[in-house]
Amino acid sequence: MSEKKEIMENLLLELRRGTLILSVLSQLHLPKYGYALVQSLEEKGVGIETNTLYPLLRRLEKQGLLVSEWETGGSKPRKYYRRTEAGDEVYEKLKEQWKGISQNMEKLLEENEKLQKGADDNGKK
Amino acid sequence: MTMEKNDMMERYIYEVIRRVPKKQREEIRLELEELISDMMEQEEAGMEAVLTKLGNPRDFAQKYSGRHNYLIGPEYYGDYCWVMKVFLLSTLAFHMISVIFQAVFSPGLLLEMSFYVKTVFTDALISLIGGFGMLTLLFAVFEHYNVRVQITKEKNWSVEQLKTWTPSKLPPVPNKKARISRGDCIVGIVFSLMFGLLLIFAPEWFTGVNIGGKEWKLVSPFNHEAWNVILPILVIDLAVELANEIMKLLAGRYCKKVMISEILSGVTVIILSVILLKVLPFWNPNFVRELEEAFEMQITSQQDLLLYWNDGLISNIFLVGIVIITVAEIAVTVYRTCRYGNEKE
Repeated sequence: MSEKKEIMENLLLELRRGTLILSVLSQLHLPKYGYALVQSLEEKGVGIETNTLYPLLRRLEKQGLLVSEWETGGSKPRKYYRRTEAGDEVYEKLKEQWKGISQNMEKLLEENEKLQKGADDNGKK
Repeated sequence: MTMEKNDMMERYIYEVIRRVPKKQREEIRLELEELISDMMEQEEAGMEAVLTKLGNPRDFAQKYSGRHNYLIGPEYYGDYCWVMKVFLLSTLAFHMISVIFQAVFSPGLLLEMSFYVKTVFTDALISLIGGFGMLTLLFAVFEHYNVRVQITKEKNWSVEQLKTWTPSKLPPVPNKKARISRGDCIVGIVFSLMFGLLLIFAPEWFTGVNIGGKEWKLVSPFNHEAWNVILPILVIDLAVELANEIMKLLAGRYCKKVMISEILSGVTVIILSVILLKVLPFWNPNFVRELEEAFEMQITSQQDLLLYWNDGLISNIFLVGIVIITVAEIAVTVYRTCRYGNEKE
């Protein structure tokens, strides 16, 4: 049983990992600091571990998709991230891809559900 | 925040940043301070709960550094194993030959225990381990370098290209004559390295010829007094050739980059050879006399090339040979690059 749980956990992780960058990019049209990003994602039901997010933000910055700026005006210094022009471009392309993927997945799963239902009905008869 | 909490946070942050590259530490420290205090404020949680949520600082640091956890990846692993085999076997063979030579020149060694323990066994082990280390380092550098090569190659792209692949998109196989044999490059690399290491660590192989006579004499064709100048030039020469071979290995086919590298390396080799053979006292001026003394004979025959030792004849022969070979290599590269180098990859 615990083995199954482990497999499931890994699969879930993999599934979420694929959408992580897109989720993050989607939120950074306007500048946001790290923790605010965690919260806004969580509010929308997208959980992300902080120890994954922070390194990810740095990596995206290094790749030129995000840019960061320290703001020292408030009660404490905060680092704000936002998308660059290249980030916008990548985000738009990824978004298109995601739409295609999710539509197809939807179709796939729906079809499967119908088939299963049909089989169940036949079984009852 | 009490002192205790601060202390815990500091410890946590220290455990993360000591594992990341130095120049990122200060910024990551600031980031983490911001994050932890945000989490405490917003979640109204204690320091311990917040740090527990952040997880093991080691994992955190690993994600920050983002390095892959291997030295040589799958792309190079096959070649690595193959080259390692060739290298270790040839090192072993080289060592065995040197042992046999030593035994032949001084059979007395065979009666000494230290000959077997040190020369036969320990030295072999040291050279094998040394070779293993050098090759591993070399391939680790390849691995690192190649990561960058791939990143720069992704300039012209579109999602469609990345996604849909059809057999019609298979690139044409480069013309046979446009390909650069990996084996040749690897052999070139291994031998430049081996030659370089021997020059540096075992110069007696090149500077001396032991002639067995009534007494032991060291007769060297090379100029011992100038060895301090000769050695660095030879090493630079090998390094240039090594760089060229690595360039060819990475490119895998004739192209502009390879052509430029070949021309630069060729010109450097010729210039260095001229310096070595024509400017520096490369050869031992007393070589012939020492040889005659060692063998107790006279070299007077007009047909004997050694008679012309000090006339620059040997230097000229070497120089002409080097220039012909280098120019030929450059010519072949330029020809193949112009002829086949423009075919699309």
